Amino acid sequence: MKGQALKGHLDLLVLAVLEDGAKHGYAVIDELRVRSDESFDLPEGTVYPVLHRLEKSGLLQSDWSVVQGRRRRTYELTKKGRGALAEQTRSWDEFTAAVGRVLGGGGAQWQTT
Amino acid sequence: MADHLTIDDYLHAMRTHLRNRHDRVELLDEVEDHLRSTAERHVASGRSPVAAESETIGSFGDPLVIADALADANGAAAVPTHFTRSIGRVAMIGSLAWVALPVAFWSSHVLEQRGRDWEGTPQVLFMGGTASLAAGASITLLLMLALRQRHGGFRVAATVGVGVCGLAVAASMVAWAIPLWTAILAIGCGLVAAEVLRRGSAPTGWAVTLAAAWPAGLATLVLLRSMQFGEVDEWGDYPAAYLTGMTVGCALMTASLIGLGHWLGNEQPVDGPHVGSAMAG
Repeated sequence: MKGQALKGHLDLLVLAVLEDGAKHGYAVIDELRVRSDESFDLPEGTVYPVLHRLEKSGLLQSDWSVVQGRRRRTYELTKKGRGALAEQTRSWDEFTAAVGRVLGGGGAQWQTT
Repeated sequence: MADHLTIDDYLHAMRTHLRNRHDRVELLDEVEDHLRSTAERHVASGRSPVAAESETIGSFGDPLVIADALADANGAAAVPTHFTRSIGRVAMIGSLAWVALPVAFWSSHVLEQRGRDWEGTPQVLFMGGTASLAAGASITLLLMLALRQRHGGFRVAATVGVGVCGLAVAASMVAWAIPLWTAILAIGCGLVAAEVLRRGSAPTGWAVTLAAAWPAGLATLVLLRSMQFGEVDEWGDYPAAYLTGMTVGCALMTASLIGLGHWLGNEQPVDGPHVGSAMAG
């Protein structure tokens, strides 16, 4: 999937990847790639602004540590972030179900009445 | 991205592009950790170091585009600008308005006490004090705006504080209502000073003085009023108590304007291209 198509869904995807625990940016990107069977094709650097924006919104919190002599920033969901993930997941499910019904041709009743 | 670029080249390009940001080190540290971790992984999987770095850079994205996206996500840069320097210098000079105000009000009060007709010199002095209050409040508002810009924006509460300081300019129309505009300034300056202290860039002493100026003035006013300080006037009030409280606030406000103005006025602006090129790298 191209980056442009992914753009509107990155917040939800990043929140979902962080649901099972704290991760640094590299691990978030790696997890996105693995979970999508390498379908998501976007510049890796574009994930960091998303992480920063989510943190500024209070959905994530971050912490610094030193690993192999380098400073590493790790992100985790806040309580507010978990709520937002649940809400956005629900919206996504409703949206995809509706799209699925449309694409599945749920019956044009006007033709039979 | 050209294939021969290294991670160091990439980071240098980002560093130059983000040179005006106070959070540049954090942003670059995070990017560097990602790039080096990715390159190490590629090398571990059998690629040459040169190929690993090239592939890493290629998959991360254009450094300037990523740098801009990071800057956008993290808000405005908290840096000195020509605006903050200019306002700092104006504040130092403009602090004299907070000196002129009590001088004018006290002079007016003393002359009236000595039996001078109010519609003569006392009234002129009072009008001069009113003008000084309007000037002092305006300069204070400008300083708050400069502090906001210097910190790359404020949280909501401090931004409200800047707006409250704007109300003080309007309140100068009722300069005689000293407790009113003193309270307005106490709230406005207090909210801004709390944010400035939280951010930790400005000199702590002057930020504390800014926070304390008007609460101290108000406290003095209330205390002296309760002690029935000075002579009672025709309305049954104690003008000397009000004027003394106001003078305390004005004195501390003058000091904080000079201190914070000196800080802002002596920082080198980084918002001009000529300065930026000098700082590059």
